[in-house]
Amino acid sequence: MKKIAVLVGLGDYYQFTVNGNIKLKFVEQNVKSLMANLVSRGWEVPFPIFDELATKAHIIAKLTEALEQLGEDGHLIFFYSGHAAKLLNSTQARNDEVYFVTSNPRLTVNPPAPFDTFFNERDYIDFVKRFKDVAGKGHLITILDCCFAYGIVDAILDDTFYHSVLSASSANASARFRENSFFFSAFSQSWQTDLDSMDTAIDRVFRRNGWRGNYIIRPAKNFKNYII
Amino acid sequence: MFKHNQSKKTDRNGFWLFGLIVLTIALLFLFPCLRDTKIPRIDAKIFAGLSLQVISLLVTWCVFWLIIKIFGKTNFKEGAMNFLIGDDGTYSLGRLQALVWAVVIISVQLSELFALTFNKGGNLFHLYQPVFSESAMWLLGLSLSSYIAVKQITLDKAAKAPRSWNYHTEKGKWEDILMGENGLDFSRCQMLLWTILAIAVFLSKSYLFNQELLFSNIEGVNKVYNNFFEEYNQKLLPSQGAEVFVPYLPWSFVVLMGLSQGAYIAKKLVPTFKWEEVKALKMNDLNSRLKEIEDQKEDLAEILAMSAKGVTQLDLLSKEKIESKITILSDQANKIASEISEIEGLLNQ
Repeated sequence: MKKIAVLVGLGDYYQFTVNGNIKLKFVEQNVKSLMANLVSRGWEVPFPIFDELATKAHIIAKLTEALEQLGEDGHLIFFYSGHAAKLLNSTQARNDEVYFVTSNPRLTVNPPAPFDTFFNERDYIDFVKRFKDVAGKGHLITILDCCFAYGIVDAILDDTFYHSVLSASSANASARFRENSFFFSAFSQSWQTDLDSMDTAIDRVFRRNGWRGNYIIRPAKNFKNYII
Repeated sequence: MFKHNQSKKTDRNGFWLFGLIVLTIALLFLFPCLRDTKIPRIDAKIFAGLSLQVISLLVTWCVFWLIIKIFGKTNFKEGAMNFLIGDDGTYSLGRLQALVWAVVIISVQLSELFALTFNKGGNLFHLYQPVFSESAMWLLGLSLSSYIAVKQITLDKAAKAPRSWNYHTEKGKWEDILMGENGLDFSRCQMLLWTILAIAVFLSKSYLFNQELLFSNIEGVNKVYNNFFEEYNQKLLPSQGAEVFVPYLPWSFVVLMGLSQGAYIAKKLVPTFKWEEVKALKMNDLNSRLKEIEDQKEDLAEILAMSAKGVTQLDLLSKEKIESKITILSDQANKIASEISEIEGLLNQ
């Protein structure tokens, strides 16, 4: 059984753009930390995609590449840390659609780059469907450390038997952070627990630190006792 | 040893304070005798007027001293110098000026009070009114504004660069008043000189005013108390008669003081250029680049060691991206290092 993790992080990248997304200092460190942990647990982790290289095309290519290596019972983690945004008053797509603010040469404040040029919820839903076709007996774990995180997957809530979701924020809220991501801090202190108990474990960390969070943990029905 | 020195100093201060109080009381008692002395009339008037100025200055200073004795103990220094210590721990010219003007203006009021009390024709204390000329108020206001502006500039500098802020924990020195960051400061020197001149002129006007309060009758006193100098009123020019006015300074002098204060504050707002500081900034920059290079190299080595085998084109691109970042950082570090060498060359010339 193959276990592959695709990690994507955009942090420093935003300091070179003029779109109002601030630089996220913690991203690189979090990606490295998760990578080290996953490798120690026997996951195969290809070179993470960072900053400028984290374009829509590269992310899709990396996911496709991973999918090709998985068998029908393969396990795949997709981790994204960076900014995400939600379309409001847009004529390009449905108004509540969410996209990852991925590397884009047209990343400007006004006018915004077209929805389709970012890795967006439609792209990810297509990928989830492809995963189901290729590795229907496997397990897809989506970990999203960004704003409106749950909005990426809320359109495919029915596919819960093979797909676990760990999202730093609900579909309508921002993810909270200071110098570090609160969600990632809590998640990294709870990854020894099974997915079913992770919600409680993360909640405990949030309460202990006095943080307020709007994260959503939704384990796959077939993998409730699964430990990453 | 330190405690011993401190107590010696306190004893010395106490001695001076005691001496001043005795001198002041003695002069107050002696004053009516001086007023009625048999020496020629003109000399007696001059002597009485000058004594009055000295007495009022001494009394004012004694009051300040008592305040200092009761409330003036701080971590920095004990005594009158507390009034002069700025937010950076050094003696401040702005504070000195505000203090001196406050002492002078208060002492002038006291001298008026004494002059009325010891009026030649009897006690006219009830006629006392705390009146001030507009120019005196402007001068006090200017010095206080300058003091507040300097405080704001000092705190702003400290807030912007807390690490480079050099808070003086040692005792302030008299030279702080005239010394800038690059040595003797012209704007400070000229402001100090104008202040001394302004105070001398102001005290001379006060002397003339007191003469009237001391030797005139009730009508004369009432007249001078309501006689404000109007510079632009031709009828009241002092040259047209020996008229006495409420102590004042000409407006042109007030403007000059304002300009002088403005130059002093403006100079504080302009940053000074020092090669040592530029070098220190470059060194910080260089160290942060070198650290970033180390971090990037370490990250790349760790990721390469951890990442799965079977390198794709994207993996190679990712690796090259980090390597090119390291190259750019190295180039920047080399450039900064050469700039530091140039600065060192200039400093060693």
